[in-house]
Amino acid sequence: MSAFLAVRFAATFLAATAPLAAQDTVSGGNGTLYLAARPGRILIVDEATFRVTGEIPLAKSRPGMSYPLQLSQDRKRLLSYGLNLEDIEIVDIATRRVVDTLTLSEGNNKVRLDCYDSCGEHGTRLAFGTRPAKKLVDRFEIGPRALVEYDLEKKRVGRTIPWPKGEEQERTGLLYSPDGKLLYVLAAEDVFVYDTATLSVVDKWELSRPVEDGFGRLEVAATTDINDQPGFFTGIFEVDDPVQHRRIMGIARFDLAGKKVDFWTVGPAKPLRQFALAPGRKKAYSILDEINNWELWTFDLEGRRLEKRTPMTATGRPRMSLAVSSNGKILYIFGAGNTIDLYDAQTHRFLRTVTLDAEVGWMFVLPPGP
Amino acid sequence: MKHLRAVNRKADLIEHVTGGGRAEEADARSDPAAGDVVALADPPQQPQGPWVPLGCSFVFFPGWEVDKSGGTAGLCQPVERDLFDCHIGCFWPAQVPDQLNHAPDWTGKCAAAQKDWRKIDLIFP
Repeated sequence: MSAFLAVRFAATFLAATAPLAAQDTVSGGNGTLYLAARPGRILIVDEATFRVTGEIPLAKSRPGMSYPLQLSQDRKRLLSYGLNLEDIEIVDIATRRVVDTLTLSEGNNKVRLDCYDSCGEHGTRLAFGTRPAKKLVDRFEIGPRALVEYDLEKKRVGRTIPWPKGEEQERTGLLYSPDGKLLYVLAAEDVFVYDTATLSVVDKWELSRPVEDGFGRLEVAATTDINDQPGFFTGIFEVDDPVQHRRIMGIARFDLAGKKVDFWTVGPAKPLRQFALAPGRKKAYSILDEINNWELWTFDLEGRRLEKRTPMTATGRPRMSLAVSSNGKILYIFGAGNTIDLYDAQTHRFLRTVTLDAEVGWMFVLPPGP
Repeated sequence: MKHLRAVNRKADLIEHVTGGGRAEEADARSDPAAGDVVALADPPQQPQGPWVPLGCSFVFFPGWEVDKSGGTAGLCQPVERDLFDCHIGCFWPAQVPDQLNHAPDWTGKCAAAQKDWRKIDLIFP
């Protein structure tokens, strides 16, 4: 390697490494961060040093970034959705490369894949919505929306998933059970449970009914949190008080298999961005995003209360995303832009800002080990 | 003989409503615009803000971007990012080159907007 290349090589990595402050003794752990980054790549960052240790180019995301980037249930793959909304690149985390690319578009028949709200995936199966359109001389002819199951081994659509109640839905979330035997279709009001062997509805969870007397209904959506228990999802939800018509927010934990929802109220609805569970699921964090009032919130999930809220004055500006370090001690606050602010999860003390050489979007923090 | 006296605003207001107290002060406080007293049975709790369509920007007014309050303090930052990214995240279709067909790599040299915005290609129709 020439001296020039060696210097350039070192500079690339050093640019992504912010100097550690003397008082910065809190470590986020020894995990690995995977970040969707511009232009069209995934940055791999060592959590302990915040050094960029590699990158995975994504041809279908150039010149932007994955939209979105999704982690598979088994945490072995990343699914990157292309900028044209027609491609999915399957990234093998162990080998750090794209192992497959799927598209349903062919010639003038364009098929957009509805995966922004996450698609269902389990083993070699992917379930997602499709929006077909045929390009004609003077116009596009828009076809009906469908739900399909794609077979990654055979590289084709295996089966079409019938719409719940035969009615086409504008937006649906799709989620496989941890064992892959059930597929949950999260429709506008209710959750429909399909047997994946027959693709027929075997159960229904009527969330359109209030979970508790005096509350409005909860709208459920598929979410991905690496610290949540498989088959469960936890998040901040708002309900309408039917008497006073006020929006109230609370934290709900959905047990899909048990058809149970555990909901407790926090208070009047506030514009909170993101919701991230700590490892162990005893704490959770969120960002209050009010104009000129950006706060870090900690929820005590065992005590069912808002434990702490602190204005983010050190780096006060609109922020979009939040992730928890692999050991739960540091909060990573990022987006938009190429910086990540590190806060002590326990005290909310600002630690430092890490500057990367690229804008980053979705982040997954994988703990060390297999 | 009066045994109780109001020591806070709410008690003062109750005193006024039930027939005593400082009427002019209580009237001022009962004004919803003053924000001091909110009747629980009289929604909405918070005053309505300006109605801004389509989130952060007016699609047909290039260069005029406002936040949800009608101001600029809550806009996405860094502002240089608006040059290329808001057409995806915030639906700003008219103000950037056609990335899907004619200029697929027009921001390909721009990794971080704040430091690389000068590397964005100039695209002429």
